[in-house]
Amino acid sequence: MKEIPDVVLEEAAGGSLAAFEEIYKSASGFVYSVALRVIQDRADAEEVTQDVFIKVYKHLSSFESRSSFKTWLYRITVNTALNYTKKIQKERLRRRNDERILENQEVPAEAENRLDQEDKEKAVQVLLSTLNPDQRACIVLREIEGLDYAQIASALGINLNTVRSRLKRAREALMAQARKGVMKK
Amino acid sequence: MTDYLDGEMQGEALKTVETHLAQCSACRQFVEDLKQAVATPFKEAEEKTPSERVWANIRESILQEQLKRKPAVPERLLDFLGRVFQPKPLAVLVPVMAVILLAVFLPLQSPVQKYEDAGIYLVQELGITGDSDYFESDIENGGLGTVVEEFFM
Repeated sequence: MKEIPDVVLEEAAGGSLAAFEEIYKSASGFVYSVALRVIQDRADAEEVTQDVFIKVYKHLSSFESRSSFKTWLYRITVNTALNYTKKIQKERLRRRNDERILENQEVPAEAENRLDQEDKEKAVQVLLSTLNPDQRACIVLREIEGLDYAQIASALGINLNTVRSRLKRAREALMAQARKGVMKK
Repeated sequence: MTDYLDGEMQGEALKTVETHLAQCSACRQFVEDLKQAVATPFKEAEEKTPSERVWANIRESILQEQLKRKPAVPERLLDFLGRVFQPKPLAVLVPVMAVILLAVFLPLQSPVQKYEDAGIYLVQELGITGDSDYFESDIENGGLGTVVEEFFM
């Protein structure tokens, strides 16, 4: 995410739509990517992105520029995504299973010929799908966004030991998934 | 291992792990497998971009929000008038009741009192008294002395 100048944040907080659009252009990719990886559904991730930016617009005037805008945005994004996930968990699970069936039917012809970005992205999605939403959020913030434990704890509103134990369990699950893959080959 | 992998391990614990890894190939292999399984795939994940309709929806919501905050002029005017003329129970009721009571009870002053007031006015302001010539009969002053006059006087 590009750094957003304080003056842009202040103008947006004052109600400037042009300034807010600038914030959106700088941060929407980051918000959407985090939401997509936690939720694992494009339409839902777009809805969460929408919710996140409307929340940001409404509360920007109360945001203190002394703290990091990025950390604040992480917190809103991850919490909105997790709440959304919990709300629609059953529905999403059913849909994802349907998509997986479709994916399994489509993949073989292409997969062996090329290892392009789409395949890597699919691998990421498959790995993340083995985790529960809380573990997923931790892994996304740690491995993709590069946050340290203290930043993850702050973004998720949990303590350091909880971050540590969620990452540990997530990695155990990912290792188990990797072993399964090796055994299949 | 989690702390070590994430660079969160420090001091003596870090030294111990590094010393052991330098001596133990099985553990080095384990750390390598762990990185391959839980870290490497994510390093190549790219940032995604939402579709354009997301901004269109956000923009629409913001504009609606702004409209809610600043209602149109006629609406604001109506709102202002409504607030001005909105009855304020005690502040309005007490003076209104006072006016009604005055309007009802003032005309009930007795006619006798009214005539007495008129008499006082005549005497005090106009200087007319019972001794005045105004009320003397023409009969006493050698008036017409007709039957009709006597009847009316």
